[in-house]
Amino acid sequence: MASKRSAIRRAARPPAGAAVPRNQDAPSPCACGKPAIYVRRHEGRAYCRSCFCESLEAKVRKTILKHRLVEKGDRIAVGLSGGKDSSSLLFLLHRFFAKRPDISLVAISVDEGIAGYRSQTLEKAKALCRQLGVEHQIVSFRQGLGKTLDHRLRDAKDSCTYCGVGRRYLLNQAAREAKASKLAVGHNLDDEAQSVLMNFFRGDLLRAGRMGTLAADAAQGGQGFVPRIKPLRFIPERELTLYAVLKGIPYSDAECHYIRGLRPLVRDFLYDLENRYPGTRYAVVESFDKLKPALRALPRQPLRACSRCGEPSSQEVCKACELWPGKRARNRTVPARRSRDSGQVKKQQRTR
Amino acid sequence: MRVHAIRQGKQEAVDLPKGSTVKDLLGKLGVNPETVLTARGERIILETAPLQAGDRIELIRVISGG
Repeated sequence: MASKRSAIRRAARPPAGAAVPRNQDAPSPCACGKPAIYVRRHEGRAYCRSCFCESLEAKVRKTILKHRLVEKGDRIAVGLSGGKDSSSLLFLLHRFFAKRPDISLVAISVDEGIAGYRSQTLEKAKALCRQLGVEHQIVSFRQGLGKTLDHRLRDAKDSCTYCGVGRRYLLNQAAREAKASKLAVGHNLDDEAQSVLMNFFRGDLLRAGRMGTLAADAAQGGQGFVPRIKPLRFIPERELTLYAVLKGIPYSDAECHYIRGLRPLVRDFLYDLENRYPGTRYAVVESFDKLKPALRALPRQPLRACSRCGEPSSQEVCKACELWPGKRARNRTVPARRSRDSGQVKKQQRTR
Repeated sequence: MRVHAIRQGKQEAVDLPKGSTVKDLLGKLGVNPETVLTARGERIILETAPLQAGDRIELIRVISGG
């Protein structure tokens, strides 16, 4: 698949200096006159390869500047799964900031322990980091939470909840330990539109109020949260796939076999609407952004330290401790209490 | 005319009327055009691209991850 993608990338680029042949496939060329390879239907505009890539990069740059997602002196941890979104994100941030001596990047991958899936994506993540020369750290559910996701799901059902909670917990912890000032995640326009609708469908307005280009809870800083940024929030999933193909970014197109529940239903519903009414996803996210000030004004639980592990939480016991009880004894980074627990576990094992 | 759709490495023969486009192919396969990119040979093509008998069209899926 990778070599096929490389070949597509080469073929999409006309030979240097050659006259650009008229592409009979394109209904209308790009504004620059070259053959179109993509049409943004909600804009009614066709793009050639180079104009498409420039346009996508400009949109991401604009999001970063407008929302001040990256500031002087930042060390940015990038959540890197090895899929097209996070891989494109790392590629773009490297492209924008590699020459800035005051800004550094570190990629962090989470290995949930999903047989037949995560190993494929991690190989792509490692390949991209080698290619870009970016520092890469891998944290695992087994080491950080006590069990792999496969193991945990033997006696639990809601896979995405267990995975999402564990992944956010470990990413934040690893970013903090890497001394990152920001944690960049590859959430795209489709993810955001899906999350907006899911929160409304569940009636979870408090959670909805925390969403945004700079996630609200994380933006508070302190409390152990590394501010989470979403530079791809206005880029559709399909455009990120095309960008990754055209730029030859190594990525895995594997789909997690645990995915179920509300999200795939909402995803398919939005794809259907987008096909019939181009621009639907933008409309959902932009409408939500207009409502956000009202949602953020709703009374919410202040952040505090989890009474068990010390990580930031809006409840006395954080969701990660609730869903992953085995993590306390194994997690090195939790201060006093965890150290004592670890000691007890070792002592018990020795006396058996 | 007969064309071949390639999805995740698997090839599938599809019969379509002469003059059909990529969009017609996706319609026949029941694939939402928003969920794929299409390539002929080694070139990304638009959904308005006309098809020829014997074409091999690769469907690059957009949905991945979890």
